[in-house]
Amino acid sequence: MNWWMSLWAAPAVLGFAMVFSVPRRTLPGIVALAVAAHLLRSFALHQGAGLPVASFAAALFVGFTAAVVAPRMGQATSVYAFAPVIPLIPGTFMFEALTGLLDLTTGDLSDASAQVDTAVVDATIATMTIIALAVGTIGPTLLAGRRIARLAHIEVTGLDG
Amino acid sequence: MTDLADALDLSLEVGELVQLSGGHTARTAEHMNRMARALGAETGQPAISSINVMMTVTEGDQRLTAVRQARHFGINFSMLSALRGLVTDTETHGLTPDQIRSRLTLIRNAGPVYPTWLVMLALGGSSAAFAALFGATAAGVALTFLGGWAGAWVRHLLVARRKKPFATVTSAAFVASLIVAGGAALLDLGSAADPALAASTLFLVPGVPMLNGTADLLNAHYLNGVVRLAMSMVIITSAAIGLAAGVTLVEVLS
Repeated sequence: MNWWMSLWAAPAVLGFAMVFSVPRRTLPGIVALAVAAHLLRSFALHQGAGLPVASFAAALFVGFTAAVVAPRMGQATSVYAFAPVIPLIPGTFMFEALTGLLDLTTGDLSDASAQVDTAVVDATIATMTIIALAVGTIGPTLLAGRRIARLAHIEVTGLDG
Repeated sequence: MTDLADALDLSLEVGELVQLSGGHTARTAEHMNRMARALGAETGQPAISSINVMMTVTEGDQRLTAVRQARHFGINFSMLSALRGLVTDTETHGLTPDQIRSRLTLIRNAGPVYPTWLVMLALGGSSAAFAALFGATAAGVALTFLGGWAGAWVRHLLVARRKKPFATVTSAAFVASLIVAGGAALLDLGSAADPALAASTLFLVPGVPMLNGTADLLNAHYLNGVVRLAMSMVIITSAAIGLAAGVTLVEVLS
């Protein structure tokens, strides 16, 4: 396992953070969170977890951290919660599912059932991973945002921090 | 004493701006409610749809209702944070309606946080980083940077001309994948180009609509959640069409 690969999550998140127009002073925190989340997912995968489960753990980490850090920094939770999970998008599975479906349209039916199997498996992993990322990121703030903030001894006036 | 009409007008403006800057429905409603109450309304009843924000405020026997258009689900998290700060300051420091209007004008007219050229460059960098994460070679990473950068510019220019998401995303994905697939064919990268191709259109991932759509569904705002997820599906499908078209064109020509 090459842990250094997770450093690529830093430039991966930077473009999206800028598209989301996050405040400039939050960029270092967002980049650090993205790298940490990628490392956590790599660790979970290394321990034998499936991609959706590993991604869910990483997204939960991002969501929980954002719920604690954002109010302390005077920012909306989305600033820290949204961009860092983008590098966890299962791009290769999405691509392979798409190319698998395209291969089915070539007219060569000799290996069609294996192609369908592969495409369905890839699409399922991609879909489950995306759902895991979304629920894991949003869950902590929606379900326990106020409690998390209180645990961190932060005075909040709103539900979302 | 604040006029109830001010509470209604300002809470609607806050709601519109939260919607335009990428807040999910519960956040929009919460900010509107807090603003109305901070300005003296006894109750606030917001109603948020994908194209409008509506608000009813009451004080004693008086009841006022108004609607404001908020046609786009935009993304500007700096604005979102500024609005959060404004609502909190109104609650804690008792800002007057004139002070709130001044700050809302500043928030609405704030310039872009990052220059466009830098954002496009960073999106190229994001695409290249995705390619590296997926195991692409140095040539694949370089091609993906070029493709992502060019595709991001295409999308930006088409959005500026008010083209629909299907057109902007499909065109951007087509250009990005054409550059990556074409470059890979010229350099004879073969299957080593797959990670680069997989990464080439990821700068188009609709992260905010997907996450806000999920937030809406989990908050039982089902209609708005479905609208946002439908937007995401249109974008993902458009990117897939553009990617498939670019790759197929290169295969036909090579």
